Amino acid sequence: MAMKLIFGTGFVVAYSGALGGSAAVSRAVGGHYLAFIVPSGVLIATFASATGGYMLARDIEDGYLDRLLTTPVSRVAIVLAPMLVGAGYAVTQAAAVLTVGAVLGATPKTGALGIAGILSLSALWGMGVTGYMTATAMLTGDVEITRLLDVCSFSMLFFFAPVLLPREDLEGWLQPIARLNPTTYVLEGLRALMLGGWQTSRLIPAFAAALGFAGLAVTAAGLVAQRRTTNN
Amino acid sequence: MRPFAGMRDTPIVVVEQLHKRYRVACNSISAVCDLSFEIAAGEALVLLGANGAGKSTTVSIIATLLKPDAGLVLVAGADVVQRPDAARRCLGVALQIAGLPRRQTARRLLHHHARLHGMSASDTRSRVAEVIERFDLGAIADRSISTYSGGQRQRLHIALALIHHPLVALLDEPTTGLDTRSRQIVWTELRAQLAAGTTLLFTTHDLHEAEANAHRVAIISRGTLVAHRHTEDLKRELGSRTVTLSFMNRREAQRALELVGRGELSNGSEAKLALVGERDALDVIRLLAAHEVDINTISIVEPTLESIFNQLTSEQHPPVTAERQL
Repeated sequence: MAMKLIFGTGFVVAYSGALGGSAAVSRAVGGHYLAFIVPSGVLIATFASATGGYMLARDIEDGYLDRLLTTPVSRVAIVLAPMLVGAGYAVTQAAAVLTVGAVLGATPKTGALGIAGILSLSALWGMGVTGYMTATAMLTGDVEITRLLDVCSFSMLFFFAPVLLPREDLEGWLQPIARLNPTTYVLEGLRALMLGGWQTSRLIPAFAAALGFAGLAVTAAGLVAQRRTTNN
Repeated sequence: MRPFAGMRDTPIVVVEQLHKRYRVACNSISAVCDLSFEIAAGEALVLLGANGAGKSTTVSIIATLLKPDAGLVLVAGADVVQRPDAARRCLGVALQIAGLPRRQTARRLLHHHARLHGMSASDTRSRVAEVIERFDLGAIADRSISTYSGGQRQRLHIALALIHHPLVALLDEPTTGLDTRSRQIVWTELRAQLAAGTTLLFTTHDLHEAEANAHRVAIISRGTLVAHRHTEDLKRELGSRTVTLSFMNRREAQRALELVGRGELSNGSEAKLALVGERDALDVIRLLAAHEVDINTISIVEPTLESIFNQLTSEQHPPVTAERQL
């Protein structure tokens, strides 16, 4: 979890330092590069919510989940708890990256309500990430496989999104892939709140993508968990 | 007052015609086949069987972790398939693997589980302190579980199953890997729980432990029940006392065996033979005395659960159940 925070804030500090002074870059992104790159840092930090999946995988590996399943605790609570923890991590980490951004001089153009919007998007996205990881943990019951799938899946989602430049400036094969990537829309929504203001054309797709991902992942986690927790 | 308290003959766990098969690749393996037994309230029943006999499968089904293919399991009247939550409220379970979260401390985990079982905050505080003391976990209670020794983890594992004074405790090999002192700690607490009215179902490979602590024995072989009786009844009906006679020399021992017509030479000048009936030892000694065979020493060994277990699980033996006795 700390690694993702370090990576998220480090990413913001490094790229804003390297590219922030360039007038050409600022022109391309339509504002100060620091404000443009902070949402990318927020996105990296939200991947920390995968921790909820690790926790569950570790509980399965240790046999602790079986112990919990013999207690009169609701099955829904057992599955939902790591997801809520994950969403909580996502919000905390996003807030930390936003704070670092603010210290460096980038505050959201949309003000306090915008911060709430960024944190809400982060929570939804984090819920999706942790839902996906919960499903993986329930399917595999193995911490190492869960970790491997975390790194592979979320690296793909991150690298194939317009992390360093606006989507319009991406070239070649990357642009059509980025268009299919839900991360792109979440990132653009976060950027709108940071740089562009209340742009519904950016915010609706962002919330739709985050909600859709969270819905799918949580449903998948629920189905896998049902199979695992109702005695087979 | 606890439900079922003082109702010693009321079955609190009922297992009826239980079947469970596992699918392994293209094959289906029978783990439990037509298993039936009951446990009365406040009774301790031990499930004995070789590795893979079906003990853990049976425990897992009663613990609501596995669904049977057929049959009925009731815990305090609640069907474990139809009403698993009602069954879980009555159970305290310690499976074979001590599933413990490594980063927690014993105190926090005990507290958490007491609350999960619906204990009030004040009851929880006093009970956690009591359990920590009884299971000798005081010195490590606030340390991370990852630092515990195997014995400490196992004691915590059993403590968690008993934290809420369950109506029925299911313990799958509770003392495996424990040293003598830790075993003593665990069994002292289990006996206290039994005295307080908890019903106990446990499995073990330690037949002395089974004999010393169980009121009733159920022996499973290849998923099938081969005996289900009170420990003493089982020993009386299936076990045979053995007499060992030692003689002046090997020749005398051989002569004695020829005269008696059964038994075996066990150690040079010693003959060992199984006794049949209460008067058999006396008859044998009289016979040998009548033929002037000099006997040096006589020792009679009572039957043990171990000898009966070996006898029942090593050969095809017709089931010996309480029903047959009736």
